[in-house]
Amino acid sequence: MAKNNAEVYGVDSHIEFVIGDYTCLAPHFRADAVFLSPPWGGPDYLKQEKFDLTNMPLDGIKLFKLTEQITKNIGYFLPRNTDASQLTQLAGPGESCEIEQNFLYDKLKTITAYYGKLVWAEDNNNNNNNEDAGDVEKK
Amino acid sequence: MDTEGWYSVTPEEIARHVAARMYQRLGPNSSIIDAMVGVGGNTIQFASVFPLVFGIEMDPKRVCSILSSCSLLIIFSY
Repeated sequence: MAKNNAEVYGVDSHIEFVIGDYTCLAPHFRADAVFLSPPWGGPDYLKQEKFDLTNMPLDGIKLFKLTEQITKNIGYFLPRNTDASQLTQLAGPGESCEIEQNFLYDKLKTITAYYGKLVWAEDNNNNNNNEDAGDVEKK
Repeated sequence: MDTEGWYSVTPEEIARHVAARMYQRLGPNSSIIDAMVGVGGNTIQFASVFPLVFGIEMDPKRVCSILSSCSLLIIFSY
């Protein structure tokens, strides 16, 4: 029944589900990009002025470093109050990162940080090592 | 769906935008890993644009719930 539903939606041939722990499986995967949306540790994240990546249930910095073994093209889905300087540092020296604010009904909900080829500014060869908070998703 | 699942689900509009944008940057025939599927809000949107999506999730119950959430999407979009 579930499989039939997925076929109706037309997506089942595209998704390979793997049951397991990403932190163990990561070295065995190859792909053009990785999307990271780790658990933030419950709604308490908004109580911090700046959300620290190392305070997530999985250390967010270690998780990023692990993912870089697969690809530099990383999308990182995080709380809106995530410490921007931590995100910029993850890009590494001379590399850029783009921090996109995701709005829904005029409210800032989340951010997505992009790395590698996912950075828009890469093609426009602008300054090379700051985040660009320009792109905004609005409904 | 479990409690963690409810408050961690990515709003559909945002998930759709992120998927479209990532695919646009990577180009045709690219593949993506959704490293923590959760209840699958992002996975579904990736699958609607990427030819190949690897969805990794520790909890088998959540993968079952994503398969049934496909059917929910059908109901709402037709």
